[in-house]
Amino acid sequence: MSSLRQILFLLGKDLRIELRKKESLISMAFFGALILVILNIAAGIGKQVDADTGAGILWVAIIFSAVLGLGRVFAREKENGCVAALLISPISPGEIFIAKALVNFSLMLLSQLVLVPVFYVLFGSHFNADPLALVPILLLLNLGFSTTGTLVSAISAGTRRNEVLLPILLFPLILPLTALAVKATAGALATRPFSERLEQLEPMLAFCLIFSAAGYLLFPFAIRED
Amino acid sequence: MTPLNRATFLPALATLLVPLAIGMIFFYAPLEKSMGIIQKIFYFHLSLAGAAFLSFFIACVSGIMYLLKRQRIWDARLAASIEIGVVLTTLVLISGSLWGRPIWNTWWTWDPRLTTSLILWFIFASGLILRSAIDEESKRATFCAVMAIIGFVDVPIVFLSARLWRSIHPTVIRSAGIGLESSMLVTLVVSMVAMLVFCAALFHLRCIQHQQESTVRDLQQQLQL
Amino acid sequence: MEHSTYLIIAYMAIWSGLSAYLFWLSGRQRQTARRLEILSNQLKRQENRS
Repeated sequence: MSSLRQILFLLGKDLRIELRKKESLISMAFFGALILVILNIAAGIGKQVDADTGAGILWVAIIFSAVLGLGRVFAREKENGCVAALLISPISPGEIFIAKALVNFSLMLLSQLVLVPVFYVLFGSHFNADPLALVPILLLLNLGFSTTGTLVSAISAGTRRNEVLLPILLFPLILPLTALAVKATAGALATRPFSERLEQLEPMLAFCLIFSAAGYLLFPFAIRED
Repeated sequence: MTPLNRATFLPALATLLVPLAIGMIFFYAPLEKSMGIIQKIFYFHLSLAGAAFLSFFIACVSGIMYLLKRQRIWDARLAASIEIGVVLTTLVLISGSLWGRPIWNTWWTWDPRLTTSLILWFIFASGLILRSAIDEESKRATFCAVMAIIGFVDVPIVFLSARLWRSIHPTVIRSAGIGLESSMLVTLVVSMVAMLVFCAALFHLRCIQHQQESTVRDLQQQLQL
Repeated sequence: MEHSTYLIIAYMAIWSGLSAYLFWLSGRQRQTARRLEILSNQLKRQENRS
């Protein structure tokens, strides 16, 4: 099998499990929507939030809900002893990394299909920004988050305290990417010109490339069971 | 130099240099005009910061070396440098706040350097938490090495994004090191060397201790078998 | 507050932080020494028995 087919095979397997059991996706979307509602109440009912605060609120909901789904992807493999089986199979650890990162990427994207409309309903009555302007920011953040998150969740799944350690290890690493995403989103919500946002999108892309490479190289060490 | 020699040499040198540096800071270096006496925090603040960044760099190198060679000594160096780095960064943040309060009139500001130190502190402190969560020795060393490498890779991105992040905000910081008088510069160099020697002694001590601990643990296991 | 107060607090914080770390290290060292002593006692007992 070529490596592309192996990656697609693994990706299909995980997505099929997800579609049948729907354990991650529903909890991700539900938890994210819950955070949005809580923050809406915390911001003061009936008050209009400005673009900066709105962008922050959207990303808090997305990041916290994404970490929920991230933990499941590896915990599921660990529970059934599947990691050992994956390592015995003729698939290289690098390909497992790509497949798992793609699973996380698609889960985040699918949950955002729910979260972004909920955000617009709750907060967006006075943002006349085009929701499509958010798409490049969402895609870049998902890429960076899923590659870093896959590496870190492989580490945290190997410890006794998976659920606690995952956000503790992941959030400091992901902080610069999130800060850039918040700023770019604030620009998009305030309908500033796209060229201004490039200033944040370019470092975000650099972050994604660096962490994809680092994750690909370091993942074999993180997943090895000895 | 034999290891035994070095174990006594570095602390001895540090006990000479640190009081010398403190004496120079208070009796040799002149008072800064605009900031006054509070500027005397700056010498050790900068030395601590330099030593902290150096120890995170050593952590990254030790992590890479551990993954390549799988020797216990590199895990000891990794653990020691992360631990010392976290201690030093904590002190940098505390002394920086105590300087910023009277000078900038705020405990904290999102300047790139402050942001980078804070995020580094979070990354490497999470590495310490990770170490405490794993019992198995080789697994702990491998995971910790991966985190140290990826944490250090994050540093330039953190700094870059902190600079971009700030660019819409008004800035309250200016560079403290520009236009140092020669006597101040000498004092700075002496205190920096003193701090580096002190940290090297600390690092060496911690490495030896780490190896002793794992040797004792090995003996314990052998006896119980 | 006076500037010198901040200065004193800062120096106290730096050096007490470093000495706290050293104390923690010496505590660990004592623990290792104790463990080693227990081990060597165990070893002696085993040798006496055999």
